[in-house]
Amino acid sequence: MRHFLTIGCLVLTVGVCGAAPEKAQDVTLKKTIIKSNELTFDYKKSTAIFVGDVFVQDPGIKMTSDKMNVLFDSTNEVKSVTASGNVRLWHDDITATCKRAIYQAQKGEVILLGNARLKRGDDLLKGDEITFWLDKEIIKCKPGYLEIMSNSEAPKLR
Amino acid sequence: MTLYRSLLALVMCCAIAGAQDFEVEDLRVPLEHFPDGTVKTEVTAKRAKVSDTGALIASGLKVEFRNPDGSVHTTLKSKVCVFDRVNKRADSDDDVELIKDGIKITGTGFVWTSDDERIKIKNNVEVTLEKKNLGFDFSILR
Repeated sequence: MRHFLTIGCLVLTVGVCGAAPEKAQDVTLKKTIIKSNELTFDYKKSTAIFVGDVFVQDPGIKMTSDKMNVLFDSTNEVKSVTASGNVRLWHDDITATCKRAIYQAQKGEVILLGNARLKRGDDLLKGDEITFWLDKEIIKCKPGYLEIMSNSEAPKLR
Repeated sequence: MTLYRSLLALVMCCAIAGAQDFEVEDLRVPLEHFPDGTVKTEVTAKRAKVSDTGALIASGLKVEFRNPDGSVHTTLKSKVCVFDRVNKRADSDDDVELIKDGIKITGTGFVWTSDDERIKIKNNVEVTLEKKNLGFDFSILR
């Protein structure tokens, strides 16, 4: 049996930052690797733009996309990272897909836009916009659609 | 020192070779110094020459950026680079590598244009950040 929830704005607390076993990441990896077909630094706009088959492997997350734009602030720190086109993220046992993903470094906020889907096991959360924070166990989804499989170990998405 | 300034250093190196209108081997040009006279930035090339079209060609290029104690903290390498002095454009189809403090950037080919302040690595880009996570430290790229 499946539970369907479709509401205007759904705020869920989930164990995104929990101690779920690593599946998508190599826990022994101590470095970040970014690959792409091409890379352009635009100094006037303070951006680094990775284009074509972008791949990011990090101790905490893995991501692929068609393009990734990194914006710096005046102190050369990363201000935001925007991935666009066929975005796919893996974090522990969670897989996320969307058309565009925005990471705001200062807030630790990740926004998934456009047919955003968050999947953990057989459970699924989807909406036009899913927001989560790296330091909080909160996910915000609008409009929210939640599918929980009855044979899931309850509750994965609680 | 940054990749941007590295390529600027390369352009200066080429300009020096071009201005003297000769082909030179084992080129070594200190470009910047610390106040005490210690070399801060040095460009070396196995060969630098002016082509028939007037373009400047540097091969076996290496740019080293040093600390005040003389130790090297950043290295940029490229097999061959061509500089168009008229358009202020550096172009290469060969491998390029930049290493600094546990950060390594490699790729195949690059284009640098002075006017719009852009550097593009054409293919096979790989950025490795040692012991970093997604709190990306991209300051090396600037």
